[in-house]
Amino acid sequence: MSFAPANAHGRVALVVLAVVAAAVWFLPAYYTGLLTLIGIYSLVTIGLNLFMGYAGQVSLGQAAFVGIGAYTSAVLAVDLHVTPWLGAVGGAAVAALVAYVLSFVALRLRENLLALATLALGIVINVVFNEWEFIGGSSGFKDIPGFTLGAFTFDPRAYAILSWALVAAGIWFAGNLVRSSFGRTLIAISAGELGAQALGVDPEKLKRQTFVLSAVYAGVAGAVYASYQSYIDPSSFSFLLSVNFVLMSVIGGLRSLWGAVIGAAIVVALGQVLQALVPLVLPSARGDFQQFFLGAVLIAILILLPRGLAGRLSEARRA
Amino acid sequence: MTVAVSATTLEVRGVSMRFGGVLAVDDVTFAARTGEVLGVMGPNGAGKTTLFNVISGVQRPTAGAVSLGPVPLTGHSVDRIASLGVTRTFQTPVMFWGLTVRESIAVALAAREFGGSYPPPPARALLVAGLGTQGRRRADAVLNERADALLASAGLAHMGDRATESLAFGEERLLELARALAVEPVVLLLDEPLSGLNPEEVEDVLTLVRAARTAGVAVLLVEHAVGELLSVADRVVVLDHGRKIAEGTPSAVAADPLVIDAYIGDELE
Ligand SMILES: Nc1ncnc2c1ncn2[C@@H]1O[C@H](COP(=O)(O)OP(=O)(O)OP(=O)(O)O)[C@@H](O)[C@H]1O
Ligand SMILES: [Mg+2]
Repeated sequence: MSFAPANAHGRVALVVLAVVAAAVWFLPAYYTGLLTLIGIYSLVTIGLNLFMGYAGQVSLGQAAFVGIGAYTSAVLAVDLHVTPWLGAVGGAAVAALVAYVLSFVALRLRENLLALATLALGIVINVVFNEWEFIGGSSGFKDIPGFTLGAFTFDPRAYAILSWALVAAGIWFAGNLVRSSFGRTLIAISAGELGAQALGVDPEKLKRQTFVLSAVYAGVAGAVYASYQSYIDPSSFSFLLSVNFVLMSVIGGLRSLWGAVIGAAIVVALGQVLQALVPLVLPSARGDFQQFFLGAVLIAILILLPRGLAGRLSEARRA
Repeated sequence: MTVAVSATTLEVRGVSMRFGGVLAVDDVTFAARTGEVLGVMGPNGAGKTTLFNVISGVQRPTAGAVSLGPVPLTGHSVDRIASLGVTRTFQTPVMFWGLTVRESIAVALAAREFGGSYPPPPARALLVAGLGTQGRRRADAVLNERADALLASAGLAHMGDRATESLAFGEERLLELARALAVEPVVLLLDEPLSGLNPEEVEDVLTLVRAARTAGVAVLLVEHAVGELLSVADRVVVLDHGRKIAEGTPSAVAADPLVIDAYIGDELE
């Protein structure tokens, strides 16, 4: 079997990966950390964009799949001494399985109801994280082993490179997918579901496969996150994080894979700026306020650029 | 097509469809044969679209059943029925915005490629597509070529690269028809395929309909343009207030006093 060596997405991703791999040797640790976070969130958002942008659905529960990936990998590593490499595979598999089962409930619903259902599922899964003592309950997991390569235990630089290598792989895979007959059929059902059905397309099956794939992206991201932070608790995967993934998707531009990366970068950067600025303006403000401002920025972007930043860019290129 | 011409293929038996107090389709029975154009006529609100909705699985009839040869269709989903060989167009064309004309056809061909139902198991569709295996890329290239060939045979060769968003209404109708033909249906349901078309486009559609008939497709044609309908149809079924009031050759139906009374009276004057 021979694979596509590199589609346009994959080639750009390799360049970006090379830039990241070079930059981490010069960047202060703080920025390397941000870069890692952006990479991890990008991975989740690329998967979410397949489901939201191409299949035309909505999920307000992606953080739950990130959490499932993180917890699975943490349990495997801490309790069973499984290497995080395999933990990431396990995390993706469990997230995929949960998404598969949930899809039989959620994907029967449309638009607003689907949004509500995924939101509810995300919250329920978070409650499970909180209540299940086997996985640490509300106090979470500590001392999660890091990734290793031979005798080398990953340092922050290596995590930045790892997360962006996964972004490159993820965007390559998604890039192949959206150009293929699979991706076109996704667009067809999002544009005219009944029309596609009349040709023999089973929308539910197609959405299910895409939903499960988005959970795989989230699960892998979660496993990397767990080892990178070495500590997780239920609050790391709350409903607000799910909202942020949707923000990243929409800000970047829904039917755009690089839009997912741009969106992740903007939301993370904006979060940092707000964290620094809000206390200066409103000394008594707490974290919730940042989310409030992030929401305000999203609404502004939606009004000014209904197709997201990537949509604006591609319009500019065409003009 | 190995089926003998004029064998019964689609059977509608005692179908009724009630919406609250409205009996939109009332105990309708008829059959369509392979390689014929069966006209379906009736005034506004007679139940023609509802009948198509029932046959194609969009709505489940309150009574009666539809079958394709020995295979029952009633109760199956629209995509399942399509994969069994019954496809349709819509009174308002459904376009796949975001795709080009060629890609729209390729979507239909891809569905056909996997036995008339898409997607196949993830390992055969999602994984190979995402990994960009050579086999998948080659298959997709072939789908594009076949889409171009199909467009050319429908006289739409010049449209391949156009975004579906940019099509005029008549072009949408033609694309929707070409897309439906791409899945090589056994039964094709066309809901007012001529409305909103200019005379040239009307001829294009009628040519495609005749070609489909020659290929052995059973074409069910709902149309308000009575002249065109009677000229292309081999037989005609007439509905009025949900009930079948006549069935026969175009000339017999056109001369039927019941039909003239109900519907075409003014137009034949
Ligand atoms: N989903 C529905 N709910 C309630 N009533 C409906 C529904 N669909 C159709 N009807 C009613 O059923 C009757 C038949 O409608 P239908 O659309 O099948 O007619 P038609 O023959 O296609 O008419 P036209 O020529 O105007 O397209 C009408 O009285 C219509 O109002
Ligand atoms: Mg109608």
